[in-house]
Amino acid sequence: MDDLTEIKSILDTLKPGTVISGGADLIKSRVLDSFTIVRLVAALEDEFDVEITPVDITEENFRSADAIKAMIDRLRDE
Amino acid sequence: MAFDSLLYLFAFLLPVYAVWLILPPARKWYALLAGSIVFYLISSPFGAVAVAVSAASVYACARALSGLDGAVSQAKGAMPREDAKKLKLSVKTQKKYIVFVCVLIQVGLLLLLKYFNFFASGVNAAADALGLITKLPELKLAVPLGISFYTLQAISYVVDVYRKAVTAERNFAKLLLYLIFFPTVVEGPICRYNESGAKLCAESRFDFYSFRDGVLLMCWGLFKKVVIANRCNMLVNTVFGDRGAYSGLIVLTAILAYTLQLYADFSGCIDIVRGTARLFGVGLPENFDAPFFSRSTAEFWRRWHITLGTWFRDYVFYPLSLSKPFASLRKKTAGKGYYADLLPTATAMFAVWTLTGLWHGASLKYLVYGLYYFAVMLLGLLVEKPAGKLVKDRDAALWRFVGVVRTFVIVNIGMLIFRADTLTAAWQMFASLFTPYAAADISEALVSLRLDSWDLIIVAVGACVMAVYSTLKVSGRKLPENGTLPGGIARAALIFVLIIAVTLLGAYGDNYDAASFIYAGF
Repeated sequence: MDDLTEIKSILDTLKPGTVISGGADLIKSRVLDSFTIVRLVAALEDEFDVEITPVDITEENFRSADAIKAMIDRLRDE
Repeated sequence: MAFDSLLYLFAFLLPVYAVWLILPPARKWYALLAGSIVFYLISSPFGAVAVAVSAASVYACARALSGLDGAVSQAKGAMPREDAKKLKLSVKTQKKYIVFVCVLIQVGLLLLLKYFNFFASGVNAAADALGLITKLPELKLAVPLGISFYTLQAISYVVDVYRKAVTAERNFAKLLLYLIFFPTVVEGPICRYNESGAKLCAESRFDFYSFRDGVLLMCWGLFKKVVIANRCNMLVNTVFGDRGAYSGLIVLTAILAYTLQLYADFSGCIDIVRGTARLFGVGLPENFDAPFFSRSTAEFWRRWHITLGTWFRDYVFYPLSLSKPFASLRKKTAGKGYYADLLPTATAMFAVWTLTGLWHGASLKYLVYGLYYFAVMLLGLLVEKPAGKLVKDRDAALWRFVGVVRTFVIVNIGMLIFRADTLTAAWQMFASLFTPYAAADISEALVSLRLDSWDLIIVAVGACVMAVYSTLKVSGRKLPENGTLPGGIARAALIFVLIIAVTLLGAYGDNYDAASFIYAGF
């Protein structure tokens, strides 16, 4: 499973039944509230072995599955 | 100096604006800084000392953080990867100490000046119970103007520098302006440095559209404050001041009137603040987004006092939730079911709502106010799963309506705790809601309060105007304050109507008490 599919799968586990396409705005559509973001961060850290800090929690980084993937890629490079 | 006073509007704001207009674009911020210092010294001369200490410590710590980051960047290229990694770790620890000391100074000043007597009375009560003689003294300290708002801005700035979200300001005067900008220092909105810091000091020119929109926003804020909030004030003060004297219907009216008053007062103040800043070409963040259309309490707090909610989310909730102890707790509860999974979130929420309650004031009732919302939101999370199974279509019109009504009721109970003098008073008033209602009581009470049907009509019409505005906002219409109302004539007419309304319908004169802005007390 590639990274993007894995991220979508995590999102679907946290918010079952929510249709998530690569470009959907997860913040504006309220798929992700602060409680879900914390659970999502924990799942992403476990899955991709990266450290996500409060400074990484921005609207830009969590706007879509693509944006989350871009953040993960950046954190892996650091 | 209240924002709705002639003193502020004509004897303070007008001269500051005149100086701002005269100064060259690159130096216009001097007028804002001078105005802010004068405003603070007039409003809170003793508090200025605390603010100076706080600003100096924030400046020094931010510069130290920036210096460490700079040193790492320079050294990194010239040393082996392993050594660079070690240096980075060592600097990270030093940065943590610096930010810790800085936050400690800010919180220490806040605790000493605003909360010392509250905690001392608690300690003394405990000492009494244990039969101890030694007691903490009661300090008579002047609480600096807007210290609760100011402290949060100061902490957000230094933490953002630590997180490298913003660059540390080199010019102390510019940092001071961000911290004590006169419109925001009293009641917020609580601005982040990247939202207002640079804008305040940027090269600026007079812009007619900013001026016009600023005046319009100020007039709208004055309308809410002077016509609606001040008119509710007498009814609210009288009923809450003599809680035993009134029956259920009047208590219910007073609670609803207080909710209306607080919204009109606080959002009106924020409109004046944002309008004032816009005169100078500075855009400030929104603090309200039609909160009474919320379908849940969590949504209400995303729409009410937005900058406070986002501050606690970004500087308390996320750092706590993502900290090592919480990560370890999450690992322990993972896979043990939905309710076990909620434990880390609930613990972080408890901290957030305890602090949110106490932030409002040094009193037990504010602590209970915060914990009330914690309990409501926790209950919401606990029933979310079973409710999801029961209600298939949560977006159905009926369910949306039920959500809005339920949230409105919850919020009004919160307002009762918030406004009542003590928790006992809040409980007595809540209990009196279930006493028999008599419509005749309200007319008798209005007479005793020197309010007549004319006052009620004005409040009702004013509330309807606000409701229409909120409805348009929720429906996604473009509103005047966003600079999109077609035609200058329509705007000019709106400003004219608002000025006339404030002048003719404003609640001042012999029959009304001049009411201070409520959040200015925090």
